[in-house]
Amino acid sequence: MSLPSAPRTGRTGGPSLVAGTELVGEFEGSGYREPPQLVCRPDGQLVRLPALLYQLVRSLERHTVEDRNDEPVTERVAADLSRETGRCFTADHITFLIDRKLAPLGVTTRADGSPPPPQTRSDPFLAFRFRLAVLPEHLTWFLSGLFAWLFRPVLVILGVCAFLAGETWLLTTQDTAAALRSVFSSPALILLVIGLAIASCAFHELGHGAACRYGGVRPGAMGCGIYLVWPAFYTDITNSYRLSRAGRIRADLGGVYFNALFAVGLLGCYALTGFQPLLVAILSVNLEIIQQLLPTLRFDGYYIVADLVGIPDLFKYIAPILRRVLLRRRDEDGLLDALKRRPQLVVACWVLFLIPTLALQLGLVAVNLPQLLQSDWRRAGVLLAHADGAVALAAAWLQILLLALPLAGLALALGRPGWLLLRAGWRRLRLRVSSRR
Amino acid sequence: MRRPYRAPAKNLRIAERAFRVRKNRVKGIAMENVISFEELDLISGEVLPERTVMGIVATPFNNPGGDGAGAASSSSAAATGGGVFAPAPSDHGTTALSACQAIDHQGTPGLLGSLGLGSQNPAGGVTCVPAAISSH
Repeated sequence: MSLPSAPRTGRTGGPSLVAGTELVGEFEGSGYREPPQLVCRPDGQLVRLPALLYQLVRSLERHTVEDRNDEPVTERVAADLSRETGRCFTADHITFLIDRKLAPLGVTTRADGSPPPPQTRSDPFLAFRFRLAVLPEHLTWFLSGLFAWLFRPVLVILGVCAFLAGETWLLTTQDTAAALRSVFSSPALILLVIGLAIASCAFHELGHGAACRYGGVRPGAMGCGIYLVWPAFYTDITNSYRLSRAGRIRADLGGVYFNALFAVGLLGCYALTGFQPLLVAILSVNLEIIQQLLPTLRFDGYYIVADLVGIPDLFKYIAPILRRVLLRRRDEDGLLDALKRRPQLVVACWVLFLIPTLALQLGLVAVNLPQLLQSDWRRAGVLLAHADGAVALAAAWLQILLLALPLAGLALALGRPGWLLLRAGWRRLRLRVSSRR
Repeated sequence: MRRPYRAPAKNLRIAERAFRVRKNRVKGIAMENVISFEELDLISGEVLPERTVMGIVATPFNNPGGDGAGAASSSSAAATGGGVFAPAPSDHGTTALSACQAIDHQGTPGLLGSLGLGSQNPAGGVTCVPAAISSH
């Protein structure tokens, strides 16, 4: 995605910040040895800069705004940096930093005032790619504002205690298996449970947005899609980077907290009515909570671990950790050395836990895939054969959709690497054929 | 009238040398303080990945990523029913009468059993034993 090409240039036509760039400040609670600074681009992406580059950007903004004399901006910025750092900077140094370090990130124009190079959309490992925004940012802002009050400390304590008490009562006294049997026997009840599970999921997303609102930052759009093999809702909370470590963790846990509140509501309804299918809906909510807290993929658990250590992208450290631990090679990129000691250890433990877990999960999926296809096909047939009436048919089709979505997600997830492999193999074959000629 | 004092040439040379040393020392410090392009090349920033937190739709009916979920089990083991089953008679052949019993062993009670985390796995089946055979 390219940035706006109308820079704020001074009279000299020299470098300046891209219009709409905002200087945010320090990234609080980070795991880096040198505390990084944040700058927000006009497209909403946040950029992490070391202290020197941030000082340059700040000086550039000041001199572009206060542009009253004919001295080149680069010389004035060089003088500022020399004074602030105690090192000698020249205009050439500033030009180098702007052209090589800042313009490629989309923060400034080039040193001659020309627009920065077009920015490609980042594609992190195991990111949520196949998605569609449903609620725009201003609507998310409004809806999140309706629930932000639920994050007051007293209410959080009360909510969590009510959830724990309710779950204990459920686990020790109630017959969930009988409830499951009753639901399985009725298509209408299946529809009800699936509807409540989807409502819980949507409420989970509102929890993330409300936590951002409570923290004082703006949540982004909300939507839905397929993440690997699961149908999922999402909320863009990129602005939570602006929060402190506690604020970021609150934003991460906000979804699970709202799941807990939803479960408390269902428990209350069950206590009043004794309607058994509500127990199955609570079971679904519990499954959602457990799955969300796993740190292996980009679920809430992953972001919680990342925010506890103060490192935005843990997946970036897989290769350096494996090189250091398995191949005993030095950290040539300097990625690991830039981290403090304790975050290095936590990231190393996370990587060494993640790789076998992911391999096992993927292996299980690959081994069970033919059986999964066969059983899903058979189950779809049984569902349709036994569907008599509109409600039963709707329930059957909904269940078939829930069966088909994981397979579609798997096809999408395997499709891209499969296509890349095919293309690489084709290129190699053509090179071999052409070299033989 | 007294002549103005002139320092000996030797002292002048020493003074000039001292001045040059001081000047070069300042210049040396200034040269050491100039930042190099190699140092600047080591500095870099990065675009932070976007944070899209998700909620997965999970139900006990189908959960491809979960383990043990979706097992339908109930709270107590029970042997249910029993009876004698016979095929419809035909003109020729042999008829076998069987005594059958349906068993429904329902596993660990409660939510843990529902999630498939219990120690007793649910199982069910029908066991038939031939009771009598007649030829016609």
